[in-house]
Amino acid sequence: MNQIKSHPGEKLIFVVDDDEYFNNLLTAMVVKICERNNISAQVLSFETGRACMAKLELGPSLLLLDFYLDTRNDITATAYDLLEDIHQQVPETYILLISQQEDWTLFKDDLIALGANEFLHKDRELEARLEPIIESVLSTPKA
Amino acid sequence: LTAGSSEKEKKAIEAAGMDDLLLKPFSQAGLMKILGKYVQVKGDEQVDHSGTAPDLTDLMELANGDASFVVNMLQIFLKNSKQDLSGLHEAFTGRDFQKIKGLAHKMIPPCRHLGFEAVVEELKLLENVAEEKNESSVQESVKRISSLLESLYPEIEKELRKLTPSQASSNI
Repeated sequence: MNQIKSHPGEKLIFVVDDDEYFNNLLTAMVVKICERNNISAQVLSFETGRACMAKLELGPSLLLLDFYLDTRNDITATAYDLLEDIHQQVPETYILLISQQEDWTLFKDDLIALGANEFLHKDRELEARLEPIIESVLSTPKA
Repeated sequence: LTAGSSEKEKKAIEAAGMDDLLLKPFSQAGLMKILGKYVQVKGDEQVDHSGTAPDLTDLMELANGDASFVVNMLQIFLKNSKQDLSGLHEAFTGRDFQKIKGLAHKMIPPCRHLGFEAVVEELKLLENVAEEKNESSVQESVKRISSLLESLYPEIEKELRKLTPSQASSNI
């Protein structure tokens, strides 16, 4: 995990995915997109919901949340279990759900009600789709 | 052979008495895999799914010239994939279909990202048959995934050696 040091104007982004490979991948994508768009941001990665909750008070601007989280546990917990807690604690945070779920339609309304803002798939289009979202959520209007 | 592609069509075709089907356009590896299911290769009790090299295009682009990023990602893939694979076997021994389904689901994105499409297709199939608790299909599917992945690991290790020529000996 990156060190936590705050710079004025620096945005905070959380990546929460229990799959080590995809967690690293997402983190690298987000860092690259921020660099490309001159967005000053710090990315913190978490492999469990618990670890993420412990740092939530830092108030991330954007949170990328894996839909099937904590699959290593006996009970398959999903974002349902975390989403509401996160949204209540940091209602300003933009929550982006990411999954390899092919079809969100069955869940979308429920998840939006719980606080999700947008949905993406773990596919080859991910980086391209991620970029405009990061841009619009994190770009600070020139003062 | 058909260009039709849905799971429903596949089921209909199998119900009509066909043993298998191959969708067009198909790859050499895809054809080999299906042939291998029905043709006993002489002098080789295991069907040889000749390994496909990982597609590193995405990783390389993301790495921005930093080879250590690619190395790290491939090492993570190897470690976790092997862990998940033995998890699959274990879960099958315990007939824990829910666990099998969860593992298969989790294994898909990294495999897809590295271009291991044959494994992805097989993992999707495993998700379905695990959901149906179809014991014999699950067993066969786990076996095929096992054999596919085992053939991919040496290819990944080969890439790793290419990426870390100087560290190859010191890392062991």
